[in-house]
Amino acid sequence: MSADFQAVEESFFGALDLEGPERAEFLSALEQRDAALHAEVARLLDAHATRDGEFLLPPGEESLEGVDIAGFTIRRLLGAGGMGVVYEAEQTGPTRRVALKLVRSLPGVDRDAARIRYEAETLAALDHPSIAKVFGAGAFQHAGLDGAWFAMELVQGARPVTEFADEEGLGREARLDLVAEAARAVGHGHRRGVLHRDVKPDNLLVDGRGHLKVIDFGIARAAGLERDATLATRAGELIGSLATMSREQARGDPDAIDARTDVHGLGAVAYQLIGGVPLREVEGRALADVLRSIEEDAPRPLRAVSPGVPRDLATIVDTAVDPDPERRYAGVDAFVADLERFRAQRPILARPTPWLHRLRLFAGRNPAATRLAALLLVVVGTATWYVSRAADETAEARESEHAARTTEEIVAGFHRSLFESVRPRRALGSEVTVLDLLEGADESVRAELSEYPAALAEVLGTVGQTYLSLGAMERAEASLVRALEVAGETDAMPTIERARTLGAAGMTAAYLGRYESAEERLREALPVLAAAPNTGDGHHTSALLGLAMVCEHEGRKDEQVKLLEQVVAVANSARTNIVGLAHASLAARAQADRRFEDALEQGALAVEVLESSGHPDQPDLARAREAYAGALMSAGRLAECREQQALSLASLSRVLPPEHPDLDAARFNHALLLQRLRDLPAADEAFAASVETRRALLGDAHPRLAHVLHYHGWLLMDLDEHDRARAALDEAVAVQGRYLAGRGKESDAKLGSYLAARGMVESRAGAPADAVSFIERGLAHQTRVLRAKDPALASTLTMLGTVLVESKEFERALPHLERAYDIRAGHPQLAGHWMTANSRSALGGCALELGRVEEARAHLEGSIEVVRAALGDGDFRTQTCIERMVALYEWTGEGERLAEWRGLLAGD
Amino acid sequence: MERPSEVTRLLRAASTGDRVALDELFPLVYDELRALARSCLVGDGAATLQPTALVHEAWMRLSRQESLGVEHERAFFGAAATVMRRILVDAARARGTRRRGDGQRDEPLPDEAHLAAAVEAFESRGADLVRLEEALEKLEHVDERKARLVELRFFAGLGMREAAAALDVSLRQAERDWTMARAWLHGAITDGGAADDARVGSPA
Repeated sequence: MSADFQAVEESFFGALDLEGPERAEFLSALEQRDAALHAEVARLLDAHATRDGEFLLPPGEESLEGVDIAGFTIRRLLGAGGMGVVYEAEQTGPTRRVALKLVRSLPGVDRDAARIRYEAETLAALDHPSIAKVFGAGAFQHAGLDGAWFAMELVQGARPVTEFADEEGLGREARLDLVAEAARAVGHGHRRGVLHRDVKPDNLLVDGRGHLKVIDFGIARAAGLERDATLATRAGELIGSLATMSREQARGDPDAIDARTDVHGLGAVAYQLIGGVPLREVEGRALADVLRSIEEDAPRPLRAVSPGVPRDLATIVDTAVDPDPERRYAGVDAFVADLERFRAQRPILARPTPWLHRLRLFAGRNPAATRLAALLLVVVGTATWYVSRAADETAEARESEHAARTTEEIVAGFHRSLFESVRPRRALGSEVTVLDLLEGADESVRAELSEYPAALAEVLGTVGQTYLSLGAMERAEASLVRALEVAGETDAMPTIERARTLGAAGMTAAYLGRYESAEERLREALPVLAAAPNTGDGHHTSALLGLAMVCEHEGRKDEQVKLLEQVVAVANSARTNIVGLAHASLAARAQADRRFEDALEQGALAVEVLESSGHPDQPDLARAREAYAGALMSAGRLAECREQQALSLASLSRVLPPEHPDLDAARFNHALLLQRLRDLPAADEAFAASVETRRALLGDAHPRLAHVLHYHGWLLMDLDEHDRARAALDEAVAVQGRYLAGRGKESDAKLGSYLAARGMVESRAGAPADAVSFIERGLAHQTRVLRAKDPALASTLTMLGTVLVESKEFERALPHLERAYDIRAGHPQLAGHWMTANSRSALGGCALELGRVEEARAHLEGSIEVVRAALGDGDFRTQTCIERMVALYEWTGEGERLAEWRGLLAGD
Repeated sequence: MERPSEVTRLLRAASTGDRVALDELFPLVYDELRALARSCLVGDGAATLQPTALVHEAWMRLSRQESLGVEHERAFFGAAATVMRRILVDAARARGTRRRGDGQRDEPLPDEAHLAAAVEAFESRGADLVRLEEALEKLEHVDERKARLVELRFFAGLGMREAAAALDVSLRQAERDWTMARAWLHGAITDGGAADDARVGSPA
């Protein structure tokens, strides 16, 4: 800011803060001191006084004082919100003061004056002392503005109900009076067929005499905003209502709005009046964040924000503001009736929300792995609730005589016994985990609830889903299957609930390697989940992911990729962490298919999406990091790989139980990196631990066990522990064989790889003939199932060629090596890779042995720099390639080059 | 990479005060708003283009598509206000050119017709956009914050509270700035915008 400008500003405000003679005095002193400054300030003061600067005001804030609109003369501005501006205006005809609301037209909004008038007639028919009357409505145009006007009863001395209650220091009884008064007024509208659609404190005004008036009854709809405008163009209005908005309103679906939406609004007002805080905090939060929270989070129970509230009153309010309309009061009258029951100290009809329902909502949002700490918070919070409930035991006993034993009540009773199992002695001084709780539940649930199949199925389903998220797969399987049986026998479970349970059972089976049953369950659940109204809840996408997992293990790659892409498409608009997870799986798929560029891109994308969309310890993020780290490892970016792995391992160890498959997978990946970094003893330990875990967790016929044994075998070869390597690879072959036999198959590519690796042990141990025999067996398996150009074949062919070279059978070796190189060089993602160059170098070495020097030179010189650049001169594979360069120049007698390459050999 | 991700990256950078990112953001937001303007008007040529509704709609679309926080929202509205200002002023100038008859075309393009309608809507409230722009450029030289405030309020339609948050100043400060800017701009416009050069000057 320039110094002169600053002086002008200071003097301008100096004068503005003064009035009359004082200002004149100030200005004349200024004029004497600095005439130019005075002139400038005087000019600004004039401009300020003319108010011509008002053209700068944003639309809706223009001053319209003195302007006539539809026969009303505007007097003063009362307030402005996103939906419109309210003026105090004067009507001639019947002379009266009215509140004139102007709602501006928005793009795409119907401005049909006839329709507005028709709606206004309906509103004018509402006749209730607590509803502000609508006198008329219509369309207007003024100075470039157009829209709808509504003339309403002016509420003198109006204050929003919450402000009034706080400023007047009202007690609970008086506050409840206000809620009941508002509710009765809204109920009157409902009986006339009109929904309010925007019940919030700002629309419940209390006048100077303490009478409540409901304003803006049905105005949003009459103005065409709700029917015609998109959610987005109502952004301004939304912001005013977000603190109290119901889930169906946030979704922007006018058809989902009914009387229960107004129940929610009244409940939200009661929540704030009784609890002292808004239903949800919106200040300073991004709109998208608030909308997501409305969609996903349940409001905090009233007693959690204000522990002094009587239990029944809290239950009434919590019921009214339940995110799920089905769980709210069916109408305003039922809400008022329960309030009256509470005030008359009679039993209320609403039932508290079962904590397990909340727990499941939570677990459902954090599929596949749940943070123990957060779960424990839920558990402890609810335990407190039960303790306080126990204090009311006497009153309880009286009430229970009247109440029917509903499912929810049974479930609640069961939960109480559940908590008793862990308190207080067991919990004292030791950590109680959710697993402990669930174990207790599992034991008692079948006995206690056997007469109530609906409750039993619900609890078992929840217990099973929670087991699943904790990684306790066998227990999850048992609970889920039982839940489905109970549901099937009695037809007691809603279809959607059953599909979710079925989906969870499918995921569990997939984790347990029971792919057929997994696929069967998931395929049955998917159509129902896909057709569910809210597919963004994660159940649908989780099931798709589970099916993708099955396809992955069955080698149905195209189908897997298709499913994953479907996940991305389905979840794109809803749950970013599922999208992130799908990207992570696509990265893993690309990695497995050796599409390394794709893997890097998908992996980076997955990490980016998940980093920006949730808690840093969310397991999905760790999974994405794992996939990305794998791609980074393939790209030789080991430092970045190590960084991603460290982050993921640390996070997973905090969040998951030690035997969780995801944690095991992360440890396995870390072992791979250690191997790559040549920290072989550490890698040995890591692989051995992973083998142990998988043997215990997955049994002796699971492909994932064979997989880790395979890698361990290679590592043991590098450590020259041939006996242990043989044992590991024999077991890998046996495990994979059992797995295949169980599926009526004999061959797959992996079995071939394991046999080839087994052969390599013999090669290292100096028994090349045995080596060749193993590798040829492996090759035979692979040839049976793989395409001729499959890169997996190239690895086995290279091994075969290399072993034959070592046993000096160059003629036999050459065609294998040629084929290996051809496959790799012809593969779009492998063409420039060091593995291809390595193949080529081996081919060159073999050609040299056969005396085909120029061919050898082309291969060797054409490959060495790629290998050196990718692996560095210290790597043993680079050293082998350098040895071949030395051999080439020894053969050709190129002394200078010979010396140069010899210098690069380690130990020289 | 997809454009939204690019926008996200730039918003992130811009929200940390990266000037270059803000400049890069400009064309992306510009395209978004133009495309949106077009799609809003398809099927209802009579509807008045509401630039502020557009800006909010653009933000809603972007922030629903991606996970963007409140700091991005500020950067976005900052960029969008600048974009809106340039679109409208360009449209006002183009209209001026056509009126003087030295344009090449007789009929404005459909897109331009909508923009012209928007200009009309603004100017019907007493604003001459071309002269306002000249005055605003001068204000930018002497007190950039006040100019940004006018931009956010007038072109992006932010309320005083939102604008204060976007500029990271107190509400009271924003209100003072607003009072001063209004009076100053009014003076600058009615005096032809040149008379005060002697006093406030503009850096060479």
